[in-house]
Amino acid sequence: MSLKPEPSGFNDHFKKVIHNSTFRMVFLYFVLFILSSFILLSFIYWSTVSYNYEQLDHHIEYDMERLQTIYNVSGVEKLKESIETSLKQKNYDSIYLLFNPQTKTILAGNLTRIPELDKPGWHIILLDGLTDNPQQKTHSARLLLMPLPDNLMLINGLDIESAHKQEHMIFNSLITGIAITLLLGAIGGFIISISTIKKINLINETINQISDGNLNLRIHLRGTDDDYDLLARNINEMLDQTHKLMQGIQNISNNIAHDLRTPLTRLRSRLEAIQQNCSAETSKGISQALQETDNLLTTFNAMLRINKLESGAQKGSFSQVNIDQLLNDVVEFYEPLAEEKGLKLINAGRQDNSEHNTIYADKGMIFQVFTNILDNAIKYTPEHGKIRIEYKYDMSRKTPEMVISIADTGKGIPAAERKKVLEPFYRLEKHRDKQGNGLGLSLVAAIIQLHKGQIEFKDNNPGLVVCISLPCSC
Amino acid sequence: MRILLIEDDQSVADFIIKGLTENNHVVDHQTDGKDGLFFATTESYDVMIIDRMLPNIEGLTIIRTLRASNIKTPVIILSALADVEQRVEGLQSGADDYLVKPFAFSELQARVEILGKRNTSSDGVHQETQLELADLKIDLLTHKVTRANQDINLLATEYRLLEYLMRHAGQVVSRTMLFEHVWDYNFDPQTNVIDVHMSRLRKKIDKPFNKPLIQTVRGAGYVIKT
Repeated sequence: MSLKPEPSGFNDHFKKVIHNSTFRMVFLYFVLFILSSFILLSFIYWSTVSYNYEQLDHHIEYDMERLQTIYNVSGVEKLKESIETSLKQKNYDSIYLLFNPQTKTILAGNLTRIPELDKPGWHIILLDGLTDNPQQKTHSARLLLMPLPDNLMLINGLDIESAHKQEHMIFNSLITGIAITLLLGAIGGFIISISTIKKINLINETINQISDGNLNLRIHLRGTDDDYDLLARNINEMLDQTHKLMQGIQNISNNIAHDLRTPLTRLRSRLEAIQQNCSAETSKGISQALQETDNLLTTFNAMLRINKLESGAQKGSFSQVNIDQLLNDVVEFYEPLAEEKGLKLINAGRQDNSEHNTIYADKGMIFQVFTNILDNAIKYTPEHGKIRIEYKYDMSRKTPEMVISIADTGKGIPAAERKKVLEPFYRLEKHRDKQGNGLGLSLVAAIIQLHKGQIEFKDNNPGLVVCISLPCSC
Repeated sequence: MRILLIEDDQSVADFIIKGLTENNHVVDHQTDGKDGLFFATTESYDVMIIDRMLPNIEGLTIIRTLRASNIKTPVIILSALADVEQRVEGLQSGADDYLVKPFAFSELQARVEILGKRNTSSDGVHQETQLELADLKIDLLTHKVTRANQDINLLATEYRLLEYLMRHAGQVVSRTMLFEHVWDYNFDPQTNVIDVHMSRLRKKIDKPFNKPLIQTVRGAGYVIKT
């Protein structure tokens, strides 16, 4: 009684892809992949850049120590000399400044002004306004400020523009790296999920066709011997097994049919033969015995029929059936019986304005459904009661349905027992005395299930409403 | 009538032979498919009753062989295989009727008589437009029914019932036969609805007149006769 979702339009297709487990797995993997490559590349970036700056600091510290030693050993004049020499030798990356903080006089160095640095130690400053070199104006510098004896201060530092440039370069290449991995990951994930979805879909489609009654179909093996082929092979083996079992049911029911019907035929013929030459009283008894044989057979036939319907092996001959005409036939067939019992049988017909009046069904089977339900309704509705049949077209489901309801004014079925009455041999306690085998509604349920429809019992206050919904198309 | 019975169950066969002989028919009985086919092709019969599951050659194969060799004798299949599909398969093989075991003898007899009659009357090919029985007349074209020159208004179902009875006047028709031919559905309805329809028909056809034409045959069905 389930309905297969049918993809229609982009939105549904999209939802289907989102709900696909392969897609979800690939997506999760993709996110993890991005996250891990991001962490890895950030680490590389961070360690490279900090190593670079450490190198710069080492260089400055080393140079500072050298200058301090010169000052301590040879005095201020020698230091000034050494700074001049260094400036001449080295490119303009190096920054020196020897000054007296109290008099604010510059003794040596390549800065034009004394930068405002509050305490000795490491600093980073912008060179704007501190240098003559116009190219350096926008650059930053890493500086080490150290006090010297005799109230002097020494700044030693490096223009870090090239280090900045390097940092940018590393950052850019890492971003490009991430973008490329992202793209490759996405493409790879897409290809993997599409090919997996395709393989799984192929299997699903075949299984759907098989469950629709095409029992001889098997899943196509691609010959790649991978796990999908293994899965397909296992499913095929399982299907073979199921098919064998179903053929078993068919054979058993045929055998039972033969082995039970033939003795019953003998029994019946013996009884009929005896009936021809015997007293009127015996004849009456024999008539009853004949009736019992027929009842036995009816029960047995109904059981076999239910089994076959439930196994899905019996597809019947489905065609477009006009529900209006079918209901007319049913009502016309039952109207005299209802009238004889003093009941009103009303065919209210269509309850909406739609034009649809066909269902895809086996006409004979659906007729049987209504005979079983009407038999019950007539049997259990007291005199002067009313039985009303109506139908309407329901588009609210995915597959449009025809909803047919049969409402009587009998005693109804207690809510707790409504599910149970569809089970074979179940009969309401108070009805055990009435004739019947308790299989009628099970047969109804089996036929409706075969049609992928639904049956529901509701309250008519008083009485019972049987609602049957049947899909309008296959 | 001369009837060929191919049935491997001796007890069932004896019962059928006894019943048909009592009704003045001559019955040839074969228990084996091969022998049965031999008799069916070499002798001339009015009706054949053939079981489906037979030793050596299957019932349906016999029927197909007969039809292929242009033997048009009416055939009733007698079988324990009772599904709608199996009945359809049986009728498609070329059989004229299908009776499921176990059956009441009267049902078999009614069907045999009707098939036998059809076989003999089909020689004269004239299309009737009117059926008559005593003072009851039905017009097959206008669906007008009169008895003793009085018009009788029948509902569609009642008319179809009467027409079927009239076409087989003097022959017993069972409830199953009526359901199959008048309502055109292929399953055993398991209700007494048909009796109720019949009683309605009788109220219109017989009740207002002196002599009832439709009679109930106990345990078998109905017959319309003078």
